[in-house]
Amino acid sequence: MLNPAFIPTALLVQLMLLALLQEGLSWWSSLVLMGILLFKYISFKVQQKVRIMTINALAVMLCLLLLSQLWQQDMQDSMLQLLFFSAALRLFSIHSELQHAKKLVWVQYFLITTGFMLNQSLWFASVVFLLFFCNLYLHYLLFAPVQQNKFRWTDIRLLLWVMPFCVALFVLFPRLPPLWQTERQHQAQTGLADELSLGGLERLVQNDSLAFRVEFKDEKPAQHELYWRAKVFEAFNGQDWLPDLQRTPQQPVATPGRYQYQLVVEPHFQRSLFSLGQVNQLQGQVQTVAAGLIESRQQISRRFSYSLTSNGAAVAQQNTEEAKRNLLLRHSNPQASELALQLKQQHRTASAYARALYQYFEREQFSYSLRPPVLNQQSEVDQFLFQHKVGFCGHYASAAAYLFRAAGIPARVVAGYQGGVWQTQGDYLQVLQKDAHAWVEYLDDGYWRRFDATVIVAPLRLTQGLSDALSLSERQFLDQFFQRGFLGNWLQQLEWLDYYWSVWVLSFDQTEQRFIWLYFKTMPWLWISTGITTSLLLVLMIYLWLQRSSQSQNVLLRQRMLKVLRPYGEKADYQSMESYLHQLIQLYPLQATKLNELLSAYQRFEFAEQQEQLQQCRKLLHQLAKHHSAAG
Amino acid sequence: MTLQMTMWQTMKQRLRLRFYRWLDKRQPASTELTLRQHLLYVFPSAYGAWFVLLIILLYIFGSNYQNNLILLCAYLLLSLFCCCILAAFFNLYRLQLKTNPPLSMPLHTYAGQSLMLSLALSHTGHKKMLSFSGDEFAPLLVETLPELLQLELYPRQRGFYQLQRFKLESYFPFGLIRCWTYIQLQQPYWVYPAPAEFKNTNAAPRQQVPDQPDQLAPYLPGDQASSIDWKRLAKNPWQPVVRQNSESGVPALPKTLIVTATGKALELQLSQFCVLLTQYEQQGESYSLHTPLNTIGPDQGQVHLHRCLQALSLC
Repeated sequence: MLNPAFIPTALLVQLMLLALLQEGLSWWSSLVLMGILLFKYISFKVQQKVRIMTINALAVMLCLLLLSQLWQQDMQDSMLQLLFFSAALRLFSIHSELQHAKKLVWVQYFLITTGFMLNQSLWFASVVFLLFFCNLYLHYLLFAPVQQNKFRWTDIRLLLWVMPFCVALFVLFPRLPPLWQTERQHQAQTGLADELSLGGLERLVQNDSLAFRVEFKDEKPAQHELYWRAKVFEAFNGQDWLPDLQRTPQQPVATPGRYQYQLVVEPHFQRSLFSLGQVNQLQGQVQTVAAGLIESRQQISRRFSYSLTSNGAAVAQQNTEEAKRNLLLRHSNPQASELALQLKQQHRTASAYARALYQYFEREQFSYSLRPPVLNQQSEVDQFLFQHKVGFCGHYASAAAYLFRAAGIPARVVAGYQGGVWQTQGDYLQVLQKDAHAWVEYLDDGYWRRFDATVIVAPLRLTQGLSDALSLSERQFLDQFFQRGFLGNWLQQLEWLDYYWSVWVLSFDQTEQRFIWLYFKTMPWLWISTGITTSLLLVLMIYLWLQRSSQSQNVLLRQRMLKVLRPYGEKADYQSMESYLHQLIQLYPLQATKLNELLSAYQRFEFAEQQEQLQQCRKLLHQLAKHHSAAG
Repeated sequence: MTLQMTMWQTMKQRLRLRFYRWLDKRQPASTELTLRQHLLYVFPSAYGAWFVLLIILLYIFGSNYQNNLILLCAYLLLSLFCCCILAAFFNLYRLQLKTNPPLSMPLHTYAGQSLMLSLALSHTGHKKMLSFSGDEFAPLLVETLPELLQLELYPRQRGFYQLQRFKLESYFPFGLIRCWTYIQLQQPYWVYPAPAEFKNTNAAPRQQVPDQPDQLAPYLPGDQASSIDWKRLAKNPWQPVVRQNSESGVPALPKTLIVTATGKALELQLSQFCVLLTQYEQQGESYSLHTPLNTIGPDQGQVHLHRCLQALSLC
């Protein structure tokens, strides 16, 4: 028999799951699931049993549908849908059979846990855990008395025992590295794109979701130094900048850097990661690639954490090939090339040329805008530099890189994020997608120096953030994307909780586990073990003493009497203590006086409650015991 | 094929016998039993095995995607599994079973009727979902334990039986772990022959004693009022006399039942005797029983009745 509370609870759980896992379900599967749950609700209300044939037919149909969609969908989403279908159909088939209900609980455990593939933020995770415990409750109902639908205290106590054990396992249980590659093919990438068009970052700037969060250990760099490098673009086709990196990893410098920082990256389904300038040391599942960039070993499909140290210094030149590659100009912008040559004649060195470019941007009254006029001519750089003179960081970066290359100085465009907002509660830096930025690196003396025209055009962008750098109308234009409700604002306040959730729970990995084990090993085990043993002994002694004192004096006295008098003769069960003593008096005339005294003392103590007789009893017993051993 | 089957079955039978012998040494039959560590067996159930598979799958899944929360769920389920081992054990541990036979007479029933066997349970606190199963009674699932548990034993043929070893198991909580034990309680019981239909009583082999002429005797206190000779009382009210007929007059001859039949007739006779014996006992007569095995002298009373019935059931 199935507990009557089972089916309604299971329906509720699946409904909540349906709402929760929307992200991973296609529209048609949500619709079908909704339908199944609705039908189940109705059939439950009218107590109508569903025929197993109907369910099997439905299952076959859904499987075929899933198969037809398989090529357009991600493997992981298909699995999620398959699991959900099986759970819903299983629920559909349950009437009062325990067997089906057991299977349902099993599948639901799996399904609920799969929810963590979609999102791991604190809020989402707490809902998923809530559902998990609901399923645990369903599991409990299966094996509990039918009429009972509440947890009893003993069961709650069991769950309380489970918790510390679970935490210990989480912290100490050995972890495996990934067994096989799990890249999501059909997942749309977010964050920085793989190419940069002239005005390419505008869309990203309208997005205020989180990109990553950083915590600095000791020293924090100044706000205008926070250039988070993510991608380097070396090939220019006249419109877009494309990556042209040779995959020759650049070894990091082994000396520790000034800044030690840990990053927690939101999933963006790419492999590129963020760093400040030249990376000195790295920790976590990351590796260095060309141009001083770092990359994850796997596509980042969950919150990911790693630590770096760096000085924030310029990235070193890797080889001569790199310099040559960054001089190529396949497309011509005649006006810009002419300007570059002019400036180059006046300013021989690369750094002097860069200073001249800064001056040029300042002198020519360039301005910063999120909505620049559309570039529609063949030579886009010329149109931007000499016609519109209004643009966004993408425009400035690609124009500046062109001007460097035209003057014979190797230069490339770097995309990443600039700045971030310091969170007061958490003391960490939060970098949003709208902090996306693009700048230029030019080669000078074997190092790639940074050139960012935004410093001149919109200096507030670096120190205050983007919205302060914009005009009022543009700021309003931008703010319309960032409207949050009351709840959103409130959750924003608690953002730091989510941060520590990701630092302590989500990014806990083998490295940290090893640290904990090392820490355990170095602990003074001798002292700890002696401490534990003595305290255990103490507790035991106190326990025994308490037990002893809780027994009354009378019981103790009787026990002692029985023990001492046993050699004289056993007391039969039916005998009272008095008759036993009388019997002994008759058996041992030699001891009769003592035994008589004992009897009267015992009676006085026991019945007249004369406490002083206890001593007398003990004394007599002692003498009797001694006498018997002497006689024996 | 059949040979193989029988061999397999005999093998199974022998193993079972061996196991029971081992159990007999471990837990000799007793009237009172407390379930201790050495009697309880704990092992994952089939659902528990599926659960372990779930944990392994989640662990692989979690490690492959390096997803800590999935791992956390796997660990949560694993620790639940481990704690269930203890919980299942404590669900039976220290449970005390005691046979609770009626005090006045031996535990008995009649052939073809079921017997209610009651067991007194103590230390039942928080113990739930226990199932009793054995060869002698229908499986019984007890959700919350009562003080006194009634087991309905299947009807059996006449004879003397000993309560067989039965199984006590529980899957509580979560059904992942099965904790069970085989219990042998010292509880003998008798199955008396089924009483025959009542109409046969007149055909009973009862010696018809011819009526003797009435004899008169002086009235003594305790004589039945109906036997007073009222006519004489009217004549001489100071000396009441009672009429004594032969039956009550001479000390009544003890009824004697002799089991003589064999084969099918034996069962019939036994059933008839069963009825007669109870009848005699109700009428307060003294009776004796001869069976091929032994003779039970003339006597009366409940103890005597049960001795006779027991002798009948052993014929």
